[in-house]
Amino acid sequence: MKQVKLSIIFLCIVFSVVIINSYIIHIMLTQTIRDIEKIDIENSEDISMEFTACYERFEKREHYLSLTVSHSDLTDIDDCFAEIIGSANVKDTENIIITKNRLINSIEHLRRLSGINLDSILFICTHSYLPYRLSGA
Amino acid sequence: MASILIRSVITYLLLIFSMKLMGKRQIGELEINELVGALLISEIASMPITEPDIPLMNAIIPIFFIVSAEILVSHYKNKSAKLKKLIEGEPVYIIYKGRILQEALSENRISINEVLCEMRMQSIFDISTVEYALLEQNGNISFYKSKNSDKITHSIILDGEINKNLLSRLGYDFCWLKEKLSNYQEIPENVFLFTVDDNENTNLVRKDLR
Repeated sequence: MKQVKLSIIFLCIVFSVVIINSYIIHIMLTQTIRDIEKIDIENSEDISMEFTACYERFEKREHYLSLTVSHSDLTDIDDCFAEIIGSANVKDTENIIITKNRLINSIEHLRRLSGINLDSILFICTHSYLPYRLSGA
Repeated sequence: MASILIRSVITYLLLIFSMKLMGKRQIGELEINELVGALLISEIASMPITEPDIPLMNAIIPIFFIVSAEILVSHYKNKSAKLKKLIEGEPVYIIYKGRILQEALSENRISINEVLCEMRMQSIFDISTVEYALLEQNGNISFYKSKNSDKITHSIILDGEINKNLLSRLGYDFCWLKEKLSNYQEIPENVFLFTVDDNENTNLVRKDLR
């Protein structure tokens, strides 16, 4: 009987943790996307500094994200940030725009697959291949 | 490398805790749901050790879920006959009142050879003495003998196939076999089981018409 009670408690904890974790990841990644979208590439005085600040905020969130998110996905995002900051330092506007889009796509992809939806349950996605979206998110 | 080692330690301790929680069972006595759980847990537990890219929590959460689900299923299975039947199935007669139920053997994908093997392992060498045989949920076959017998019988034909090596080892040939089968007015292809004992007494079971 003790085992049964313990099992029920574990099950409740597991489901709660998963739901709460999905919600927190969703919030964090949405905040990161908003931070990135706020940066106006054409009118900004110091794009490099803005992206660096954005990355530092993301780094703090990354400590929590790395608990449950695949490290390769996070590495991918880190690489995009590194590239975008590098491009900002040399004022390569074109590459900044391209990399910014790639970065937002990567984070959205991660947000979708970290959530509780058909995409994350049924589909196996690599970063470079995005099948049609079922969730519409 | 250090992280892999630490993950190994954590996963090892987690597995020990999980197995202790699930209770003691010999591997051979595992029920279907327990076997599934054990297989899944071992697979999931190895993932974060062999793939450092995968977070440790991605193993811990499923393991806790499987262990908890396993305990609850085992507990409620013993309270509900329907659930027990759904998960484990029920014993099936394969010999009933001395008659071999060939359809039951076919449905459960068991050959007569396996039945005879199980019989011999339980020191039964004459199938004609078996009144009932049950295929249990755990895959074992239990036999009930109607009478004791010191006879040893040899299976010459199994499911239409003649055991030529056994035939020659016993000192018989095809002519002898043909003669014995003619007493039953049968040909080998139509015979499910044909046995002979040391006194040349034979026993024949025909194949069911399907």
